[in-house]
Amino acid sequence: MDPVRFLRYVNGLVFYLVLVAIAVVFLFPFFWVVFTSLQFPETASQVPPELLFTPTLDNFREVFSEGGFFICLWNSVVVVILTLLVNLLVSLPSAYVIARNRQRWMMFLILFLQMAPWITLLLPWYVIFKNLGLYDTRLGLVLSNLTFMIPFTIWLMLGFFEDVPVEVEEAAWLDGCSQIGTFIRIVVPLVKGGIITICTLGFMICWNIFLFPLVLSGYHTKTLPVFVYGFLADNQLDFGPLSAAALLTTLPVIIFVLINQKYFKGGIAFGGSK
Amino acid sequence: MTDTHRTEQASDYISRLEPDSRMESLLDLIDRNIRWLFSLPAILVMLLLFAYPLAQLIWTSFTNTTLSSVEAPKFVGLANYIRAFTQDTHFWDSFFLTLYYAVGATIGQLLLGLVLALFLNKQFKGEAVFRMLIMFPLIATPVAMSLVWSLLMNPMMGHLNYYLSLIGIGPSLWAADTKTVMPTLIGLEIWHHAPMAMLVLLAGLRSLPREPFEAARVDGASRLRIFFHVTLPLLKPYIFLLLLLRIIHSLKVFDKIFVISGGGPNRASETLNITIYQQAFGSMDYGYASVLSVIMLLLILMISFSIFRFRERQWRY
Repeated sequence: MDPVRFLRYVNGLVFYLVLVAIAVVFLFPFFWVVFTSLQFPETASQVPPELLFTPTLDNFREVFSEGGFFICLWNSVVVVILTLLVNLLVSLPSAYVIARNRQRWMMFLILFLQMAPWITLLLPWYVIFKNLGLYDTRLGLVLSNLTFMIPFTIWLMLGFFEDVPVEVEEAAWLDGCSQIGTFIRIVVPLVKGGIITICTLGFMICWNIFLFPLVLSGYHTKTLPVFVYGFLADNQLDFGPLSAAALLTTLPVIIFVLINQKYFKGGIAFGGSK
Repeated sequence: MTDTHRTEQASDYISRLEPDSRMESLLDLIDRNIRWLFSLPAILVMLLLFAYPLAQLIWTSFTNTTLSSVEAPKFVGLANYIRAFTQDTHFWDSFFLTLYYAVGATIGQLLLGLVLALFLNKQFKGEAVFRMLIMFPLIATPVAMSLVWSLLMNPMMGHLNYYLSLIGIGPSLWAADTKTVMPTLIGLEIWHHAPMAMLVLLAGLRSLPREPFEAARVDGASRLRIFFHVTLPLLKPYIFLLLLLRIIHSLKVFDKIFVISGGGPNRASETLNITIYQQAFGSMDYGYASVLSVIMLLLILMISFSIFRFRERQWRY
């Protein structure tokens, strides 16, 4: 082998070695949580860990038998889906109007709304929600999620709506389509990419949110992140079941985002993540 | 196409132009006021969930409201504010811890993200798979991953110290020691969000024009010079955007700190967020928690606007 080719070969090898090192750093907890959740409870927390072991599903069985798990899973699913639907109904028309009329002050207002720390809103909400009977209801959680979903959606959709040429709409009006009809039949299908982006990122943010349900959900409406936190408080050092619970909590969102990978990357590159 | 057909079409078209039923006049009304009707729902929701609660928060900050007492709250003027700034010795600690955390995490994410983006800014086999894998920390539920990290970093039974000892790094107490807890939490936040910085900067690098680089190379500039004098200035809008987004986000981080250290040990990691939560839902001192919230809101606004003022180029909107 001549030296130039050899050097190039070494160069490539080093590059891939560094890649593997980076991947190991970022993925280490994921490997570990899968590994630990499959171990028997007795060996899960032993140092040094047993790398060759017979896997078991005991830990998952224990999480399922906890009772609360499936209720919390259902709560999470319902709250996320409702939030995404209501959010689209409310935000899309409004983003459309802002984009078409170039209401710049609205854009700055939206930017400001995205800055407000969640805990600042949470204090008054807690009192207001208790008074209105929204505390410990799924509706309350949906409303709380909407406060960040609406500004975020409008912010991201503005660009998509501005890319729709006005000529397309004018053509529809000339053909006798009403404004509302034009919006639903012509404009919305054209911004489908933006809508999927919103739903992908929205699913991730709403599924992962912890602070709102921690305070606003009671016994009946706990979501999975609150469940997993409670599980930690109850089984401080039970490594096996804890990792199983953590894995089960985060698996749905990882799968969902991986399915819509393309849109996720577009949304993140735009700067949209809480 | 027959003539009758054409006439039918025409009359159909005319009937559509004349709103003859009540339904159509309603649609017409909606159409004419669409600008307001379309934004109404969003404005209503934001008023109810943002403006009113914010007003109530500011009002509460001037009262002695508690969650536990049944008496009506009394107006106490600036007493809560005076308490925060002069009496509460922990207030300034938590104020500076918040800044420390946010600045440390933001700079760390930007630097690591930049290094990764420069390293990955070429085509290689398995690129798509690798970029997908590196996104995992960003996607995963923070509470679940915090739980995993807190198990890993357990000083007695955690495996992190064991694995690190394999590559020659000595044991640490991580979140269990007052000295190491903040760097640990900041490191975790960097682990969580550096992939995002990388993705934004990589998108930036890929969109840069080629001419300046070629010109610099023709002029015989070294790679280091090209980086500092061509790449970095061109990347500025992306870095600015990231800086703004990441610092605002980092100031607001709650879940990771809450799950891993809970503000401890000995309040060494109690940022404003955690203090507010403890004051409101632990000590039930709502008035005081509201003051801290107002201060935190102002802090975030101040930082955001000062970053805005320093920006050099107008980015989108």
